[in-house]
Amino acid sequence: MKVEFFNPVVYRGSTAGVVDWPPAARLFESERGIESIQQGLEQFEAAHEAGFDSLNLAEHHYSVSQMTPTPHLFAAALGERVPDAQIAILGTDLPLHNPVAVAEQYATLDNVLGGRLRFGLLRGTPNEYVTYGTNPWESRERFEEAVELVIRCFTEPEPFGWEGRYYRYRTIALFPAPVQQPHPRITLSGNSPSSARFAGRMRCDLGISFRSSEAVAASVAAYREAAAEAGWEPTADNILYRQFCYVAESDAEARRDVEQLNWPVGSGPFASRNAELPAVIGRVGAALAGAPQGVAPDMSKAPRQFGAPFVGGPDTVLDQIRASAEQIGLGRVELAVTGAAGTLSHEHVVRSLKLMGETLVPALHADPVAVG
Amino acid sequence: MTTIEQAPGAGFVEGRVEIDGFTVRYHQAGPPASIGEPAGDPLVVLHGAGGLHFSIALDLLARTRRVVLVEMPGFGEQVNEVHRSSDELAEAIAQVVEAIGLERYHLLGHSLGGTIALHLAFAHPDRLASLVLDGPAGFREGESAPAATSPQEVVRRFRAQPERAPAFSPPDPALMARVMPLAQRLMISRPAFDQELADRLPQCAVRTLVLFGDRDGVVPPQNGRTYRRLMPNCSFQLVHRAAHSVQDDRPEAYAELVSDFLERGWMFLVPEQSTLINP
Repeated sequence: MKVEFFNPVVYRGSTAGVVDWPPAARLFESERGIESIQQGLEQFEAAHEAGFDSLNLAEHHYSVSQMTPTPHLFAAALGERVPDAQIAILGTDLPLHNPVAVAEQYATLDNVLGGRLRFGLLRGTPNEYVTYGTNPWESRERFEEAVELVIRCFTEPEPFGWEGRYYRYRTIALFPAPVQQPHPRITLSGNSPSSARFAGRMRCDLGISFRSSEAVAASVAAYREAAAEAGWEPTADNILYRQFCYVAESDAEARRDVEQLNWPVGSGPFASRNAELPAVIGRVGAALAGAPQGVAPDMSKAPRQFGAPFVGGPDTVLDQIRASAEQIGLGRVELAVTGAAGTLSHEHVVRSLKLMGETLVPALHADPVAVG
Repeated sequence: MTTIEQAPGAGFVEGRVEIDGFTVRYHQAGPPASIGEPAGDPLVVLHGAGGLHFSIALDLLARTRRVVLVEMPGFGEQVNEVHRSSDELAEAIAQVVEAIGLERYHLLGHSLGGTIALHLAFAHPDRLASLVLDGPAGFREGESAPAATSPQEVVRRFRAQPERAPAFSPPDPALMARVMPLAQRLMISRPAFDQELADRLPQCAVRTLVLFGDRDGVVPPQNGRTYRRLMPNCSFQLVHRAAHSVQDDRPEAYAELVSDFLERGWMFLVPEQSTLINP
């Protein structure tokens, strides 16, 4: 099994505990910002030394918990810092962007990284629709067209035009093209069965984050079914699962750390002094899940489908991951160690990564990969 | 939205109520009866120190909602020597609106009217569906001295697109002379950063939209940040290529922003218009 490291690159300034989303730019301390970026790079180096198979970033906006609203920039710097590491951006909030520009970013980045790139395309979490003002009700349709357009940008050898339902470009000519031909491996998020089905149909990798095993199982089944209909068979290596993970010397020590630090969620990244904002985010979430426009959903009835983080001493966590892997049929586990702002310190993260490198990572590498 | 051909305010009908010894004029308009009942709560509008001002923006807002412009006591024929503070004038306005028969309403105030609207929100938060502060004068840090300004400079302070109709017309000097002592009491005598006002903002939970023209030459737009920083339920929006008279510089944009906020509240952060080009 492959083991990947996801790093949100937490901001380490004194506003880390401020409960108000979106955060005010005036609170940003540039000295601490520089330090946060450096610590993020050091954590990636530690993960690379620990034997992780890929160093992963994601796009999130207006957040003290993530310093990577433009992860491709960070990835370019990371590629210089760790010249032999695989790098993945999982992923881009595609409906927020011009798909042609996204294809250009990744083509360029793959050249900068000398072909070490994987990337993900996803619809993004509800808060992201508030940041740039994106219609959430048409998100799925726009997303699916945009994915097809991005892939088409990589695969059309001559300049072409796209007369889409949501996108119109009369001239597209991707130059530079990516190093990996026709394009780097693409992961599509599959947190719902319908998203997973689309990933299968598109012959892309499947990425699932933080969901419970039951929810993941439904997605994986839908993915395999759609892939079969499209005439191909995914292996475990096509399936990635992201979950929080913290390993300490012993179960007791790990439990103590996460309880003391309120890891991984901290004070809640989207808490706001504006009492009306959570309802907006909730309605956007419902829209993304398919609720029609004009319907105010009862969020208290929404299912909570989050899985438990992997926490404990090395042996315990190894058992937890193996149980998940077996249940899900995954070949790639992506571990999010850092948690939200104000939880684990840089030293905690690096120590945990080192410990994983001595125990977890070699053990998982040695595991036979489940055959799909 | 398209602009309206007739003169701004042509569709408004005048009414009067008596409050605190003043005969207060108000002007109201709404969607034609053929369209049916107006949607949502009515919008009460308070003008700036220059007095009652009709605009294309307010005409556009009145297409879908009852809009009531209130001429504040002291801005008509009678001099206002009664109201000593923004709190007192705001209370009088609250009584005016009550006398007009409105129990719950959106309140929009421009410039000095923004300050009065804010004070009304402090006193009667339960009556307001939401509050819109358009270039409010509650904080005036960085304002330029009014003296020694050329006519061109005056236009620049109010209008970023003076070529757009209606043309800018300076306030009536006779009215300004009548109003000046009142404006002095309520606004000009207050410090540019009014700490007493700032101290009251965190307690005001009324849903509030603060909008400024990005080229406002009367109240510098950076004053909008103070409301955003201190009010818990506040959005701060900059309207591009507009000066102090946003209603005249960008009427269509103004009406769209305000009506989106009034109709949809915080859902206005998320567009609901489809971007489908062709099915």
